[in-house]
Amino acid sequence: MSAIPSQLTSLDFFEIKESIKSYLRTRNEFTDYDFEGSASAYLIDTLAYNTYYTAFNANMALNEAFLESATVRDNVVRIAKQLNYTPRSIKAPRACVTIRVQTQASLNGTTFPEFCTLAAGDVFVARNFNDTYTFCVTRDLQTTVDSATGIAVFDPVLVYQGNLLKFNYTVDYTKRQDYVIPTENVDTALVYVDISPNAQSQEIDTYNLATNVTALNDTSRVYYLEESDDLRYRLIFGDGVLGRKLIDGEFIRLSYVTTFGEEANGCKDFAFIGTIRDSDQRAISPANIAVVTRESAADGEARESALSIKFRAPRSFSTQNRAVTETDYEHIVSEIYPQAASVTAYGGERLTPPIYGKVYVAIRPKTGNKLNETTKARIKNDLKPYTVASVDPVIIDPTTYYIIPKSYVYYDGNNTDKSGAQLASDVLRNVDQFNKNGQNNRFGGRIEASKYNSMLDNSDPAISGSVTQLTIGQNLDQFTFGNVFTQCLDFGNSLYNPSNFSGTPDGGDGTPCSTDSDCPEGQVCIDGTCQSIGGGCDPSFSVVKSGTFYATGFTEDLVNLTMQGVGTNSTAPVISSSSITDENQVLVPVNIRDDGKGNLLLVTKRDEVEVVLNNAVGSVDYENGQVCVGPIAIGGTPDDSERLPIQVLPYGGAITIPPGVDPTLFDISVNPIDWKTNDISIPNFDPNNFSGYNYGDPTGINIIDYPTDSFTYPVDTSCF
Amino acid sequence: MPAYRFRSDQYVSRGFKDLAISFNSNPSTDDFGAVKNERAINQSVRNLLLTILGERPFQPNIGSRVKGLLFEQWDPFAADAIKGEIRDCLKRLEPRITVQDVSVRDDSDLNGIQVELEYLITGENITQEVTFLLEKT
Repeated sequence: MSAIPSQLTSLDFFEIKESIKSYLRTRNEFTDYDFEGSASAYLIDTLAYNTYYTAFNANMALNEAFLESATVRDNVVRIAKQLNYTPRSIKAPRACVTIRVQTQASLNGTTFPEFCTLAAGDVFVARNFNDTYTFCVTRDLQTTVDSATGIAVFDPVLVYQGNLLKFNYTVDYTKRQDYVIPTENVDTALVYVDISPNAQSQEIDTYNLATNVTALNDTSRVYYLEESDDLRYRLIFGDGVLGRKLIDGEFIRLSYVTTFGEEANGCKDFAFIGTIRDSDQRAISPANIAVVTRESAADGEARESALSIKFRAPRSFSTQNRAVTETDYEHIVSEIYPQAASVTAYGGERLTPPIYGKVYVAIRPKTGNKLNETTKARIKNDLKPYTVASVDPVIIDPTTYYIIPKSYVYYDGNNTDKSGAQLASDVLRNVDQFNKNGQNNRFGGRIEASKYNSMLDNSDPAISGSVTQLTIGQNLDQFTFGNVFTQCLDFGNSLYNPSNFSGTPDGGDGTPCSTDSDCPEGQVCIDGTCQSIGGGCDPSFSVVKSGTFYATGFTEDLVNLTMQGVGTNSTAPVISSSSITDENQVLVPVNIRDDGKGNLLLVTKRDEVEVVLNNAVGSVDYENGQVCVGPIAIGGTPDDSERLPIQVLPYGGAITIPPGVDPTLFDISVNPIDWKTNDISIPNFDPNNFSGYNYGDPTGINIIDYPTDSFTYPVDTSCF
Repeated sequence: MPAYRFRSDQYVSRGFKDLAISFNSNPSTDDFGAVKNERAINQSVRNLLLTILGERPFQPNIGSRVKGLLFEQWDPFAADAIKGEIRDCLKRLEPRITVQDVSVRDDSDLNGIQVELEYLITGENITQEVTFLLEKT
C-alpha cells in the first residue's frame, strides 16, 4: 500500500510540500516534481499552500476559542462572558459645578416661581488642552427658588462628558429580540433603563443593573449587561425567576452617555448651553445663569483592553463573590454597606497574640464616627452568606491615626512668580490629592517621609527641597466626664526615647557647695564640692503631649498650693484635692506630657510657667509606642466632646500602619522658605512641636505647643 | 529506483514525465495529458520564464523578471536585459539544460517578443532549439 501525505496539519509550507512529494515518489505516474519549472511542481505548490492555509486557519480559529490565546477582542469578551465577567466600559470624565439662577417674578407679578428645573441632556461645553467637549446631566434636576431673593442654586451638579442619547425598544414576543445599545463608547455606569407598559404610558419603572443574582426574585426590576460584538453592550432582562420578565408590548426607554473618555479629563471653565425652566415653564435667560466650577473634569478612563480582560476575567471568576481574602471582605462589606467611607479587614492571625478563626472588619461610616451596635450586627449578618464556614467576622470601629505633617518647603524665589502663600496653597492641593488616593489601602500600609517629601518637591518647579516632621495623633475616647478611667493607645511605631538623647553630666566641677541644690543638674554635693553622680542627665524634651482639658479635682487652689512649693516637679505622691479647703474650686486647664523617662505628667501653666500637678497620670512605652493614660478623671474638654487628643513623636522617617488602622493626614501645615533670602536650616526632628519648653526650670517660659481640639476625621467636601 | 537524480549527482537523464500545463485530457484515456522528456523540459523552461518572482507561495526566488522587462522601451539594452535574465533564470532553476544561445526579436505585430533559445540537455548531446513568443498580456 502506498504511503499517504502525513504532514497535513503542519504549519510549515515546505514540510507539507515535501510530504506531498514524498508521496509522489512512491508512485510512478510522474517524475518531474523535483524541478521547480515543471507543471507538477506548480500543482504541488498549490496543494501545499491550500493545506497550509487550512491548517493555519484551523489553528487560529482554535486559538481564538481559549482565553489565553485569543487575540480578537470580540472573542476575548465572548470567553470572558462564560466567566461572568463584563469588561469595563469607557468611563466618562465627571465634573462638579454650581449653578446659580436668578429668576424673574412669577406671572402674578408679586412672587417668584416655586422651583427651577434643569433639563437632562447636554448642558455645558468646556475645554482642555486637547479640544472642546460637551458635558451633560443624565437626569432632570429640580431645586427650589428662594422666595425672598428669587435665586435658585443647583449645588452640586454632577456633569459627565459626553452626549446623552436615547433609544427605545418595544418588547415583541413574536421576534427573537436583542436589546443592544446601538452605539460605541457608551459608559455603562450611565445607562438608564425605564420601562413603561406601552409607548404612550407615562408610568415608568426604573430598572437597575443586577450585580448578584442571589438576592433576586421574579419581581426584581433588574437588567443584566454584557458586551456583544463591535463594542456594543447588550441588555438582558429577567426570565421571571431571576428578575422580572418583560411583557409583550412593554416599552423600553434607554438613555445613555457616549463619551470621549480619558481624553476629556481636565476640562474646566464650563459654558452653559442647556435649558433651565422655572415652575411657570419659562426658560431662564443665559444672562441670569452663573456657573462656578467646583471640580474640573476627572476620572475619565479608556475601555478595558483585551489584554486586561484576559488578566482580570479568571481572577474575578476565582473570587466568585466569596469572602476569603482580606480584600474580599473589604470589597463585599463596601457593597453590602454602601455608607462605609472606608473598610479595612484583617485576619485575627495578624494580631499579637493571634486570634484564629476571626476576621476583623473595621468600618468608618461616611457620617458620624462609629457604627452603632445594631448596624454592626446587621452587617455581620449580611456578611455571613459570603464567609467561609467556621470563620467569624467581627465588625469593629477603626482606629484612626491622624498623621500630622509639618513641612518646610524650600524654594528659589527668583524662579517663580508665585508668592510663598500661593506656593503653599499649591502644595496643600497636592497633599490633599495624596490624602484622597487609595481610600481602602491608605498609603500602602506605610507612610514614608521621603515619598511624602518627593510629592511636595514635585508640586512646583521652583521648589528645591523640603523637610517634613511627622507626628501621630489619636483620641482618648473611652471615658465619660467625671469618671476615673485608664486607656492605652497603641501607636504601632516606636517613639523617640528622650533619655537616649539627654547625654551624661560632666564629671563634677568642684564648685564649693553646702547642699545638693547648690550644684548643677546631675551633680550632688559631696564633702563640700559638687561631684557627678553618674547616669544620664534629665531628658530635655517630651514625645507625648495631650490636648488641653479639665481634670476633676485639679483646681486653682491646688495650683496655688503647688506653686508654693508643695509638689512642683517632685516625685511626691499626687496631691489630693480633698486636702484643699480654699474656696477657689474652679478647674484649671491642664495638659498631659511625658517626662522623657516613661511617666506621664499632668501640667498646667501659671504666669507662663509650667506647673506639674501630678507626675504619675500614666506611662509611655517608647519602644512599642504604647501610651497609657490614667487613672485620671476628666472633668471637661474645651469642645465638650468626650475625646482628648494625644500626639506622639515617632522615631525614624516612616510611619507603619498596622492592620485595621485607618490613617489620614490631618492639620497639614506647609511653611515655604525662600532660601535665596532666608537660608535657614530646619531639622527633621520636631523642635517646634516637642521641645523648647522649660522642663525642670520653673523660671523659664513654657512654649510647648499642645494640640487644642480633639482630632476629627477630615470631612470630604468633594462632590464625588 | 527513482527516475531522476538530485543535482549533486552527475546529471544523467533517465526520462522525464510531467503534466501537460494545458490540463487538457487525453481523448483516448480521458486522463490528464502528459508531456515527456524534451517536451517536458521545454514546458518547464517556458513555465519558469513566464513566472513572476514572488508568484509561487513562500518561494520568492522562483521565476524571472522577463514579464516585467517586456514592458520596457524596446532597444538593444532591453534586448540584452531579457537575454541575460533568461540565461540567469534557467541557470538557477533548470539544472537539466545548459543554455547555449539566446536571441530575442521584437514582434510588435503580435505585441510580443520572439525568443529563440538553444540549449543542450544534460546527458544527451543534442542541442534543442525552441522558439516561442513572449506576449505582453
